[in-house]
Amino acid sequence: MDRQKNFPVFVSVVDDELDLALLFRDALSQIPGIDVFAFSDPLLALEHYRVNHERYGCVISDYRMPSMNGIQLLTKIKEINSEVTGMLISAFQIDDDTFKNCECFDTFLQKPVSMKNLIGKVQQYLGNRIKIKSNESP
Amino acid sequence: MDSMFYDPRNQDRFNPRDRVDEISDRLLQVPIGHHSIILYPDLARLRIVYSNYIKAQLDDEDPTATILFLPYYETSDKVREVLVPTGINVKAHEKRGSLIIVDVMKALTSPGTKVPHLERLPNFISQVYDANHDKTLIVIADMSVFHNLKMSLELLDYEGNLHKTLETVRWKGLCLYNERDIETMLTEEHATRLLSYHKESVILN
Repeated sequence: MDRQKNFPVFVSVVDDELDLALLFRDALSQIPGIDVFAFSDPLLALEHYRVNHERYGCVISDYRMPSMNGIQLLTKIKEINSEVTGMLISAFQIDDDTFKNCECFDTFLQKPVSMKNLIGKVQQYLGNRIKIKSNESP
Repeated sequence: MDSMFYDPRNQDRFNPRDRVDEISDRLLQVPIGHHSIILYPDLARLRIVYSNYIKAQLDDEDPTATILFLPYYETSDKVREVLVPTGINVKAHEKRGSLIIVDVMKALTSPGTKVPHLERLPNFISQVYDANHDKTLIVIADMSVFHNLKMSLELLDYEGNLHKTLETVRWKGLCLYNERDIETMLTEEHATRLLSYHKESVILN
Protein backbone atom coordinates (compact mmCIF):
# COMPACT_ATOMS: atom_id res chain seq x y z
CA MET A 1 0.00 0.00 0.00
CA ASP A 2 2.74 2.39 1.05
CA ARG A 3 4.79 1.38 -1.95
CA GLN A 4 1.96 2.25 -4.27
CA LYS A 5 1.45 5.57 -2.47
CA ASN A 6 5.13 6.49 -2.98
CA PHE A 7 5.17 5.76 -6.69
CA PRO A 8 6.30 7.33 -8.96
CA VAL A 9 9.58 8.18 -7.22
CA PHE A 10 10.39 11.89 -6.97
CA VAL A 11 13.69 13.26 -8.27
CA SER A 12 14.64 16.93 -8.19
CA VAL A 13 17.28 18.83 -10.09
CA VAL A 14 18.56 22.00 -8.45
CA ASP A 15 20.65 24.45 -10.44
CA ASP A 16 20.72 28.24 -10.25
CA GLU A 17 20.81 28.27 -14.04
CA LEU A 18 17.18 27.48 -14.73
CA ASP A 19 17.86 26.48 -18.35
CA LEU A 20 20.20 23.74 -17.16
CA ALA A 21 17.79 22.52 -14.50
CA LEU A 22 15.06 22.30 -17.12
CA LEU A 23 17.37 20.53 -19.55
CA PHE A 24 18.26 17.91 -16.94
CA ARG A 25 14.63 17.56 -15.93
CA ASP A 26 13.54 16.91 -19.51
CA ALA A 27 16.28 14.33 -20.03
CA LEU A 28 15.52 12.47 -16.79
CA SER A 29 11.79 12.48 -17.50
CA GLN A 30 12.48 9.72 -20.04
CA ILE A 31 13.09 7.31 -17.15
CA PRO A 32 9.87 5.44 -16.41
CA GLY A 33 8.67 5.42 -12.82
CA ILE A 34 10.00 8.82 -11.75
CA ASP A 35 8.62 12.34 -11.57
CA VAL A 36 11.28 15.00 -12.03
CA PHE A 37 11.15 18.54 -10.62
CA ALA A 38 13.45 21.43 -11.56
CA PHE A 39 14.38 24.23 -9.17
CA SER A 40 16.63 27.24 -9.59
CA ASP A 41 16.30 28.19 -5.91
CA PRO A 42 17.72 25.68 -3.40
CA LEU A 43 15.46 26.98 -0.64
CA LEU A 44 12.38 26.15 -2.70
CA ALA A 45 13.85 22.77 -3.55
CA LEU A 46 14.41 22.07 0.14
CA GLU A 47 10.85 23.10 0.98
CA HIS A 48 9.48 20.78 -1.69
CA TYR A 49 11.62 17.99 -0.33
CA ARG A 50 10.52 18.61 3.26
CA VAL A 51 6.86 18.31 2.28
CA ASN A 52 7.34 15.30 -0.02
CA HIS A 53 10.41 13.55 1.39
CA GLU A 54 8.70 10.16 1.64
CA ARG A 55 8.33 10.07 -2.12
CA TYR A 56 11.85 11.22 -2.91
CA GLY A 57 14.53 8.90 -4.28
CA CYS A 58 17.17 11.31 -5.46
CA VAL A 59 18.24 14.97 -5.34
CA ILE A 60 20.72 16.26 -7.91
CA SER A 61 22.29 19.55 -6.98
CA ASP A 62 24.71 22.02 -8.45
CA TYR A 63 27.51 23.06 -6.05
CA ARG A 64 27.84 26.84 -6.32
CA MET A 65 24.41 28.40 -5.91
CA PRO A 66 23.09 31.58 -4.29
CA SER A 67 21.56 31.43 -0.78
CA MET A 68 22.64 27.81 -0.17
CA ASN A 69 25.36 25.78 -1.84
CA GLY A 70 24.96 22.18 -2.95
CA ILE A 71 26.77 20.75 0.07
CA GLN A 72 24.53 22.67 2.47
CA LEU A 73 21.43 21.61 0.56
CA LEU A 74 22.36 17.91 0.36
CA THR A 75 23.37 17.88 4.03
CA LYS A 76 19.87 19.08 4.98
CA ILE A 77 18.34 16.58 2.58
CA LYS A 78 20.26 13.71 4.20
CA GLU A 79 19.36 14.94 7.69
CA ILE A 80 15.72 14.41 6.81
CA ASN A 81 16.28 11.05 5.12
CA SER A 82 19.76 9.57 4.81
CA GLU A 83 18.49 6.91 2.37
CA VAL A 84 17.88 9.44 -0.39
CA THR A 85 20.53 9.53 -3.09
CA GLY A 86 22.42 12.82 -3.26
CA MET A 87 24.24 13.74 -6.45
CA LEU A 88 26.50 16.77 -6.60
CA ILE A 89 27.26 18.41 -9.94
CA SER A 90 29.76 21.14 -10.65
CA ALA A 91 31.44 22.81 -13.58
CA PHE A 92 34.38 23.62 -11.32
CA GLN A 93 37.31 21.36 -10.66
CA ILE A 94 36.65 20.30 -7.11
CA ASP A 95 39.54 19.90 -4.77
CA ASP A 96 39.32 16.63 -2.83
CA ASP A 97 39.91 18.57 0.40
CA THR A 98 36.66 20.48 -0.12
CA PHE A 99 34.62 17.34 0.23
CA LYS A 100 36.81 15.36 2.57
CA ASN A 101 34.65 13.57 5.12
CA CYS A 102 31.49 14.87 3.46
CA GLU A 103 28.83 12.20 3.52
CA CYS A 104 26.04 14.31 2.10
CA PHE A 105 26.33 13.03 -1.46
CA ASP A 106 26.68 9.61 -3.01
CA THR A 107 28.28 10.59 -6.28
CA PHE A 108 29.87 13.58 -7.96
CA LEU A 109 29.38 14.48 -11.61
CA GLN A 110 31.65 16.91 -13.43
CA LYS A 111 29.97 19.33 -15.84
CA PRO A 112 29.51 19.16 -18.72
CA VAL A 113 27.45 16.08 -17.95
CA SER A 114 26.19 14.02 -20.86
CA MET A 115 22.49 13.26 -20.63
CA LYS A 116 23.31 9.59 -21.17
CA ASN A 117 25.64 9.61 -18.18
CA LEU A 118 23.15 11.47 -15.99
CA ILE A 119 20.30 9.11 -16.88
CA GLY A 120 22.57 6.12 -16.32
CA LYS A 121 23.59 7.34 -12.85
CA VAL A 122 20.01 7.97 -11.76
CA GLN A 123 18.94 4.55 -13.04
CA GLN A 124 21.90 2.97 -11.27
CA TYR A 125 21.08 4.53 -7.89
CA LEU A 126 17.30 4.17 -8.13
CA GLY A 127 17.46 0.92 -10.07
CA ASN A 128 15.81 -1.51 -7.72
CA ARG A 129 13.28 0.99 -6.49
CA ILE A 130 12.13 1.85 -10.00
CA LYS A 131 12.16 -1.77 -11.20
CA ILE A 132 10.18 -3.07 -8.22
CA LYS A 133 7.60 -0.34 -8.64
CA SER A 134 7.41 -0.83 -12.41
CA ASN A 135 6.83 -4.56 -11.97
CA GLU A 136 4.09 -3.87 -9.44
CA SER A 137 2.26 -1.55 -11.80
CA PRO A 138 -0.59 -3.14 -13.74
CA MET B 1 13.15 39.92 5.01
CA ASP B 2 11.54 42.48 2.73
CA SER B 3 13.41 42.16 -0.53
CA MET B 4 12.90 45.86 -1.27
CA PHE B 5 14.77 47.03 1.82
CA TYR B 6 17.90 47.94 -0.08
CA ASP B 7 16.00 49.84 -2.72
CA PRO B 8 16.21 53.45 -1.56
CA ARG B 9 13.32 55.63 -2.63
CA ASN B 10 15.45 57.68 -4.98
CA GLN B 11 16.89 54.66 -6.74
CA ASP B 12 15.55 52.92 -9.84
CA ARG B 13 15.57 49.25 -10.52
CA PHE B 14 17.05 48.58 -13.93
CA ASN B 15 15.77 46.11 -16.45
CA PRO B 16 19.01 45.13 -18.18
CA ARG B 17 17.20 44.12 -21.34
CA ASP B 18 16.16 47.66 -22.21
CA ARG B 19 18.53 49.84 -20.16
CA VAL B 20 21.84 48.08 -20.63
CA ASP B 21 23.60 51.02 -22.29
CA GLU B 22 22.41 53.36 -19.56
CA ILE B 23 23.78 50.99 -16.92
CA SER B 24 27.15 50.80 -18.68
CA ASP B 25 27.29 54.60 -18.97
CA ARG B 26 26.66 55.01 -15.26
CA LEU B 27 29.33 52.48 -14.38
CA LEU B 28 31.86 53.94 -16.82
CA GLN B 29 31.47 57.34 -15.19
CA VAL B 30 32.52 56.06 -11.78
CA PRO B 31 35.86 57.72 -11.08
CA ILE B 32 39.13 55.90 -10.50
CA GLY B 33 39.55 54.86 -6.88
CA HIS B 34 35.85 54.13 -6.34
CA HIS B 35 33.77 51.00 -6.56
CA SER B 36 30.19 50.36 -7.61
CA ILE B 37 27.77 47.60 -6.76
CA ILE B 38 25.41 45.57 -8.91
CA LEU B 39 22.70 43.48 -7.29
CA TYR B 40 21.49 40.84 -9.70
CA PRO B 41 18.62 38.37 -9.50
CA ASP B 42 20.13 35.75 -11.82
CA LEU B 43 23.09 35.09 -14.08
CA ALA B 44 21.12 35.65 -17.28
CA ARG B 45 20.54 39.31 -16.43
CA LEU B 46 24.00 39.81 -14.98
CA ARG B 47 25.57 38.51 -18.18
CA ILE B 48 23.78 41.15 -20.25
CA VAL B 49 25.23 43.85 -18.02
CA TYR B 50 28.81 42.67 -17.58
CA SER B 51 29.29 41.78 -21.24
CA ASN B 52 28.07 45.21 -22.32
CA TYR B 53 30.16 46.97 -19.69
CA ILE B 54 33.33 45.03 -20.53
CA LYS B 55 32.85 45.69 -24.23
CA ALA B 56 32.32 49.40 -23.62
CA GLN B 57 35.35 49.51 -21.34
CA LEU B 58 37.56 47.71 -23.87
CA ASP B 59 36.28 49.64 -26.90
CA ASP B 60 35.82 53.17 -25.73
CA GLU B 61 37.53 53.83 -22.47
CA ASP B 62 41.14 53.84 -21.36
CA PRO B 63 42.81 51.55 -23.94
CA THR B 64 45.67 50.84 -21.58
CA ALA B 65 43.45 49.58 -18.77
CA THR B 66 43.39 45.98 -17.63
CA ILE B 67 40.08 44.36 -16.76
CA LEU B 68 40.31 41.73 -14.03
CA PHE B 69 37.12 39.69 -13.89
CA LEU B 70 36.64 37.36 -10.92
CA PRO B 71 33.44 35.32 -11.39
CA TYR B 72 32.03 32.93 -8.81
CA TYR B 73 28.83 31.32 -10.05
CA GLU B 74 30.20 30.58 -13.49
CA THR B 75 33.49 29.27 -14.77
CA SER B 76 36.07 31.39 -16.55
CA ASP B 77 35.32 29.43 -19.73
CA LYS B 78 31.63 30.24 -19.43
CA VAL B 79 32.48 33.95 -19.10
CA ARG B 80 34.57 33.73 -22.27
CA GLU B 81 31.65 32.02 -24.00
CA VAL B 82 29.36 34.88 -22.92
CA LEU B 83 31.77 37.60 -24.07
CA VAL B 84 32.61 36.26 -27.52
CA PRO B 85 29.17 36.85 -29.15
CA THR B 86 29.31 40.53 -28.14
CA GLY B 87 32.24 40.96 -30.53
CA ILE B 88 34.99 41.00 -27.93
CA ASN B 89 38.09 39.21 -29.16
CA VAL B 90 38.61 37.46 -25.86
CA LYS B 91 41.69 35.49 -26.92
CA ALA B 92 43.44 38.60 -28.21
CA HIS B 93 42.60 40.64 -25.11
CA GLU B 94 43.75 37.87 -22.80
CA LYS B 95 46.98 37.51 -24.75
CA ARG B 96 47.54 41.27 -24.64
CA GLY B 97 46.76 41.36 -20.91
CA SER B 98 43.85 43.77 -21.23
CA LEU B 99 41.43 41.11 -19.97
CA ILE B 100 42.14 38.63 -17.20
CA ILE B 101 39.47 36.15 -16.09
CA VAL B 102 40.10 34.13 -12.93
CA ASP B 103 37.75 32.19 -10.65
CA VAL B 104 37.41 34.36 -7.54
CA MET B 105 38.11 31.31 -5.36
CA LYS B 106 41.56 31.07 -6.96
CA ALA B 107 42.16 34.73 -6.18
CA LEU B 108 41.24 34.08 -2.55
CA THR B 109 43.29 30.95 -2.11
CA SER B 110 46.99 30.79 -1.45
CA PRO B 111 48.58 28.15 -3.64
CA GLY B 112 50.15 26.43 -0.66
CA THR B 113 47.29 26.27 1.82
CA LYS B 114 44.24 25.65 -0.41
CA VAL B 115 42.24 27.57 2.20
CA PRO B 116 40.49 30.76 1.03
CA HIS B 117 41.33 33.96 2.94
CA LEU B 118 39.75 37.36 2.52
CA GLU B 119 43.09 39.12 3.00
CA ARG B 120 44.41 37.30 -0.05
CA LEU B 121 42.11 39.22 -2.43
CA PRO B 122 43.73 42.69 -2.18
CA ASN B 123 47.13 41.01 -2.40
CA PHE B 124 46.05 39.24 -5.55
CA ILE B 125 44.71 42.50 -7.04
CA SER B 126 47.98 44.28 -6.17
CA GLN B 127 50.00 41.49 -7.77
CA VAL B 128 47.98 41.72 -10.99
CA TYR B 129 48.42 45.51 -10.95
CA ASP B 130 52.19 45.20 -10.51
CA ALA B 131 52.43 42.51 -13.19
CA ASN B 132 50.63 44.76 -15.65
CA HIS B 133 53.11 47.59 -15.22
CA ASP B 134 50.79 49.87 -13.26
CA LYS B 135 48.05 50.08 -15.89
CA THR B 136 44.67 51.17 -14.55
CA LEU B 137 42.94 48.10 -13.16
CA ILE B 138 39.20 47.59 -13.54
CA VAL B 139 38.21 44.89 -11.06
CA ILE B 140 34.88 43.11 -11.53
CA ALA B 141 34.39 40.62 -8.72
CA ASP B 142 31.46 38.46 -7.73
CA MET B 143 31.49 39.00 -4.00
CA SER B 144 28.73 36.44 -3.47
CA VAL B 145 31.59 34.06 -2.74
CA PHE B 146 31.71 35.49 0.79
CA HIS B 147 28.24 34.21 1.48
CA ASN B 148 29.39 30.70 0.74
CA LEU B 149 32.47 31.21 2.89
CA LYS B 150 30.27 32.54 5.72
CA MET B 151 32.33 35.74 5.96
CA SER B 152 29.59 38.37 5.86
CA LEU B 153 30.94 40.61 8.64
CA GLU B 154 34.49 40.39 7.35
CA LEU B 155 33.08 41.34 3.98
CA LEU B 156 31.59 44.56 5.35
CA ASP B 157 34.94 45.56 6.83
CA TYR B 158 36.65 44.72 3.56
CA GLU B 159 34.21 46.75 1.46
CA GLY B 160 34.35 49.69 3.88
CA ASN B 161 38.15 49.83 3.86
CA LEU B 162 38.81 49.03 0.23
CA HIS B 163 40.09 52.55 -0.55
CA LYS B 164 42.73 52.28 2.15
CA THR B 165 43.63 48.67 1.31
CA LEU B 166 44.23 49.45 -2.35
CA GLU B 167 45.54 53.00 -1.97
CA THR B 168 48.70 52.26 -3.96
CA VAL B 169 46.77 50.80 -6.88
CA ARG B 170 45.20 52.84 -9.69
CA TRP B 171 41.90 50.97 -9.84
CA LYS B 172 38.16 51.06 -9.90
CA GLY B 173 35.85 48.25 -8.96
CA LEU B 174 32.53 46.69 -9.76
CA CYS B 175 31.25 44.44 -6.99
CA LEU B 176 28.63 41.90 -8.01
CA TYR B 177 26.19 40.41 -5.53
CA ASN B 178 23.39 37.96 -6.08
CA GLU B 179 20.30 39.37 -4.36
CA ARG B 180 19.47 36.07 -2.70
CA ASP B 181 22.88 36.00 -1.04
CA ILE B 182 22.40 39.53 0.27
CA GLU B 183 19.03 38.59 1.73
CA THR B 184 20.43 35.44 3.32
CA MET B 185 23.71 36.74 4.71
CA LEU B 186 23.06 40.35 5.75
CA THR B 187 20.66 42.11 8.07
CA GLU B 188 18.80 45.13 6.74
CA GLU B 189 21.23 47.42 8.52
CA HIS B 190 24.25 45.61 7.10
CA ALA B 191 22.82 45.63 3.59
CA THR B 192 22.23 49.38 3.80
CA ARG B 193 25.80 49.82 5.03
CA LEU B 194 27.12 47.70 2.18
CA LEU B 195 25.34 49.87 -0.38
CA SER B 196 26.63 53.05 1.25
CA TYR B 197 30.24 51.95 0.67
CA HIS B 198 29.73 52.12 -3.10
CA LYS B 199 29.81 55.16 -5.35
CA GLU B 200 27.09 53.83 -7.66
CA SER B 201 24.43 51.20 -7.01
CA VAL B 202 22.62 49.37 -9.77
CA ILE B 203 19.82 47.00 -8.78
CA LEU B 204 18.68 44.80 -11.63
CA ASN B 205 15.19 43.45 -12.00
